[in-house]
Amino acid sequence: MATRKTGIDQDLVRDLANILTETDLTEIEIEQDDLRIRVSRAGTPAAPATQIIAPAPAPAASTNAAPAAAAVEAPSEGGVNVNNAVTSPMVGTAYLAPGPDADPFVQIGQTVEEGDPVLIIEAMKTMNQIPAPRAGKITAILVSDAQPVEFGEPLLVIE
Amino acid sequence: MSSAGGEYRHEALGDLDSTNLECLERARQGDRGNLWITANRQLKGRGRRGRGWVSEPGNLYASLLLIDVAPQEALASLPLAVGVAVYKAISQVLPPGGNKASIKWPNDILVGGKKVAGILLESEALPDGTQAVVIGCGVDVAHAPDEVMYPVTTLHAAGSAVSPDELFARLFQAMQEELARWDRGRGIAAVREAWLDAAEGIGGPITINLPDSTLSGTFRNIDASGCLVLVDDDNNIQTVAAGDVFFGRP
Repeated sequence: MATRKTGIDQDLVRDLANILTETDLTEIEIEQDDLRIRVSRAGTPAAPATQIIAPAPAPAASTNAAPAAAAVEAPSEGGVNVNNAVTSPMVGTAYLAPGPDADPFVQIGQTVEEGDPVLIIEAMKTMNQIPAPRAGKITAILVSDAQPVEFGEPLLVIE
Repeated sequence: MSSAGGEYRHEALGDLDSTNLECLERARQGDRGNLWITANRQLKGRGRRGRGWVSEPGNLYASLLLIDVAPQEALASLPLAVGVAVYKAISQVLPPGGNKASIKWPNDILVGGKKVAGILLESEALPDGTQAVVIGCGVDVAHAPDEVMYPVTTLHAAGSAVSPDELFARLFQAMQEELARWDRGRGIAAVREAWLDAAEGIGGPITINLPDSTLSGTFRNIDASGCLVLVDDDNNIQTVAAGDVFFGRP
């Protein structure tokens, strides 16, 4: 795999990711010879975060190409126990506060009771208040305000 | 207690902060659901993401509280049924030969392409383990808000002489019919057909503002759960669960 890994132009991927951010596009796909690269933002609701499609597996490249997806990928690698994560019951947009100018429902370090609202997921213009499934301490918040989330995506961790 | 099958009740109130908030308060106090609250005026009307909703007397402000109306996974399609109900109520009071009503995904109601009604659903888990869902409907009968997001109109401007009370009577009836057709989510196929028949802009260009980006393409249809299906310029299919829809290109 090592040869394949170095065969991928990481600068190209990085450039694509930068273009994506600069232009506010949600996805870029290019094809060169037998290599196809697609970079998409974590913000795109239907598409996976950052995806590289190559003729052979290229595990290292996906790590390098992931700046746009860092918010989603990082927490599971950062020592946080995602087994205790509250996951999204639906596809939608996560909100950490009841309104744009309001205080967030919870903050890291805060203790919550079972049933306390911890965030809102909007789908189909329905504001779904998500209750804490158990009492405990908020040790991580894995999404940012107004971030699109997938079904089952970890939202925050209650230890 | 579940609100399935129960009679619908109605309380008409004067000035309220928000009919949605009043319904949620009632739910927290143990109301069994199927309760309509209407207000003459809202002092803190709520739109999507806390956007203010101008709430002068003369318009319709109505919220329906439902308790345990459907399993969580079926709730996604409820906003479509609600949109069809409000669309039906409004269509019934428009003059023949005038501008027609349509639904802008997921459930704003347009007349002649301009927004005349907005719907905001809110769900909350209650301490006893049941789930409250509040369906808030605001219809601009006499006054249009100073909305900067989208062109607006009123039912009176569209040639209807309806009063908020008459419109509510239609809405009460239409919502009961559409919730029965929706049938806790089991009737979604029929609701989806009714929704598509009334939808604005199918097959045409569409732009959707998401919290952090914008999607453009052709509005294909909605999927089985009510999400908007868009085909972008590269022929990729995108499915959207939440966003602000505009017809045409940015």
